[in-house]
Amino acid sequence: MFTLRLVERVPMTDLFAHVCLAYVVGGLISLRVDWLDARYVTVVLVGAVIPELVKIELLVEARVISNLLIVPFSWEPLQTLGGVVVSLCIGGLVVCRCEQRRVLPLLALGAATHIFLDYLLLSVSGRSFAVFWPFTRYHPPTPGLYLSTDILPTIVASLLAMMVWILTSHVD
Amino acid sequence: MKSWQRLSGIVALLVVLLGLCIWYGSLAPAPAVGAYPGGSDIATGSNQYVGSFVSVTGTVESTDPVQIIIETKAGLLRLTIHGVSENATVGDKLHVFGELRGGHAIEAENTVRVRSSGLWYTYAISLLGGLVVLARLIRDWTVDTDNWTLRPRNSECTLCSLYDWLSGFR
Repeated sequence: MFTLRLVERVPMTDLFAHVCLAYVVGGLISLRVDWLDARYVTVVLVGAVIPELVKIELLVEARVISNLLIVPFSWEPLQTLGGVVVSLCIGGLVVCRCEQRRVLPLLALGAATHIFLDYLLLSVSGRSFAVFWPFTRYHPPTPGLYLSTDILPTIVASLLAMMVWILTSHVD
Repeated sequence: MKSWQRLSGIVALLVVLLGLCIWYGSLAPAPAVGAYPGGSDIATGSNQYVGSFVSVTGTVESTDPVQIIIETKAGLLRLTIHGVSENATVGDKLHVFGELRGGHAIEAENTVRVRSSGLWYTYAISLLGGLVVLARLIRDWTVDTDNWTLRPRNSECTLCSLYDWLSGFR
């Protein structure tokens, strides 16, 4: 049941690139917003991890859950708009009330950077995933810039993150 | 907000999430919106999708002809792929988009090959990314044991204290 398989069922950019891009966005905003310090940049990074929860498929296959519950099942909603919004709300309930107004938008920002990077991925059918489900099931055409196993996006995102880190350290 | 209210809210949202996963799992392929039939649809749909465009991903089992093995809800499925544009080798992951023919064969319109080493790289670097976030979360945030929530380190939840104080009068 809990086996890590060498299978790429859900094409996604590697998580490190996602985290770096979220750091770039969070870091740049922190230059303009006084209260947004390193602790809140971390919240943006956590937001960028949320759509990655779809990778639970690698540990527990959807068909295992399907057999257990005797109903059709898919993990894919975890990376669509509907699933991400519900996950964000769970994140909002985990933090104390006085932080919710700051944390929720930052989590959403991080998740948005994740979905954007995944949308750019090369798809063999030329179509991305159902980004806006359950509002629409439309799979938008993808520009197909890279594969999830390509190293270039990670290098570019890492370099940008390093530049932002130097910039924010200098400003501090 | 009291702890039991917060917990109830989280459970309710998890139920909603479960509902979304069941709903999505019950959806049939819809090529018009880009949701092409996949391996499980081919395995369970008998010949329903012959002549349709399908999108599958499997492990290359042989190269002449190219055959891939796909894990589906109905078990393993072996497909023969014609018109592969890549130099696939056994063990590679092959993404295929093309027209399903009879006899579990696909006339490929587009294929993308991923080396198995590439997938290990993705998993390793993703794990690193996850650990970075976890380390920062532990460094920057802490559990407030008074009401079992997360709050930034070195901060005082004065607003929360005010809310709790006011809620005591309700």
